[in-house]
Amino acid sequence: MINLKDAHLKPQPMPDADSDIYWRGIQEGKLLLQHCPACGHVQLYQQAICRECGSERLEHRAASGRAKVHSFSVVHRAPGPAFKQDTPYAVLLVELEEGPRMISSFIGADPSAVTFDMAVELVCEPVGGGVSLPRFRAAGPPA
Amino acid sequence: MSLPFGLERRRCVWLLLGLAALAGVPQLAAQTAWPSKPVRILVPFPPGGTTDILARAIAPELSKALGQSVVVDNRPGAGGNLGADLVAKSAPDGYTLLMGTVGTHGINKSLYARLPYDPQKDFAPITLVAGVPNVMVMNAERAKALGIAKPVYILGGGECYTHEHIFLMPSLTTTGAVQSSAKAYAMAGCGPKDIDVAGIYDCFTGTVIMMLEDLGFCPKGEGGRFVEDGQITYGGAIPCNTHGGLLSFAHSGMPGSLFHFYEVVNQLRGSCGERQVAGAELGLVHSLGAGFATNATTILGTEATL
Repeated sequence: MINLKDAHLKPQPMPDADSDIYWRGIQEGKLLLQHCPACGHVQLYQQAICRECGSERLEHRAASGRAKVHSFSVVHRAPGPAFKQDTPYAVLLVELEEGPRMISSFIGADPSAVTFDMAVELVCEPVGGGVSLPRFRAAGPPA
Repeated sequence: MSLPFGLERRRCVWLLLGLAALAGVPQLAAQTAWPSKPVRILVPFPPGGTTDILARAIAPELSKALGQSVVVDNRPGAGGNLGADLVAKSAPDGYTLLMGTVGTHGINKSLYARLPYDPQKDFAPITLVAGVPNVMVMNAERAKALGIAKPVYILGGGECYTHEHIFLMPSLTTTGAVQSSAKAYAMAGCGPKDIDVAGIYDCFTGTVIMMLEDLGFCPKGEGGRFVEDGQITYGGAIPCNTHGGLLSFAHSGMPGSLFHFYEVVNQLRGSCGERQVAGAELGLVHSLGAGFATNATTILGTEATL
């Protein structure tokens, strides 16, 4: 159960045997996805087997970082004191170019700018303590 | 094959005090200093189960209230009989309590030829700790032999499991209730228009609207209007959650849909009094969980629907 002191702290990633490689990737600025050579399925989050065909031979490859907003929610009332100073902020459900969706948050602009199918790009943002989190900002114009 | 709903029973968890000798009771009452040493709550099941979780939720609070350590001691075996017997034979001094269940104090007496303790005489009840609803499914003859005049029959059922985490949900607006209900309707040989009363898992208001659409009671996107038009109350297309549902009756946690079952079964038996949906013969219960991942639809009917 959460105590008053912990309520002021943001939850930190807790890497385990499956997700350790993912969090190390984020620290290096890469969003690693699991590719299944057997069936072509691409998945996030990391697991021991392919969620599509059950194969245990999975390869990690960095995502392009290009994505679009599948859905979102702008938070005006923080779920707890740790997030109070961040409001308003947009929680995103992004669809990566490679297929998988992921929950993330929007940075770099007013959250009211977020809309459906908006093009966004990955930012691995250091949040202190040697930890980085995968976030998304509005995509720049195509190079 | 149609299986009738016999009766629902509540599995209860009690805190009990062993009474190896009844003579010990006045002695206990006279001990004003109780507890002068740690109190042990014996759980007759392994760690991690319902009974254990409940004991571990109670122990710290009881400890605070009593000003003494309260220790949870797991003694599994023989369907709970091993632990219950240990408490039955322990000193009747108030320092050994049992988390008793419908197993140790109800079912086991008829399951085991030689129960080493007497569930009634060897224990004194302290308090009811929790209720866990159970459903009993049996054949119609057995139900009738038990005096259940109007058994309710399971006519069809379907399940669908779509994703692991909610962010992997294939669609945010359409759920596996489409597939689970299609299977249930096909098995029961009926459709949404035939259903007289429904129990729909309603953890949030928006969930009910999505389910009404996915179960086929109204077209996709029209759920809000459907509810607004009064279609889910008496006289509407499909009276839902006449007991109040999770939103107005109780959200019991994991067994949330059991109350929906209880209500729909009673509706089909015609025993809902003021809440009765007139002439209800076919009922539907839809359960979901794990962030819309698990969907299960059951269609129930009276004898007339067989």
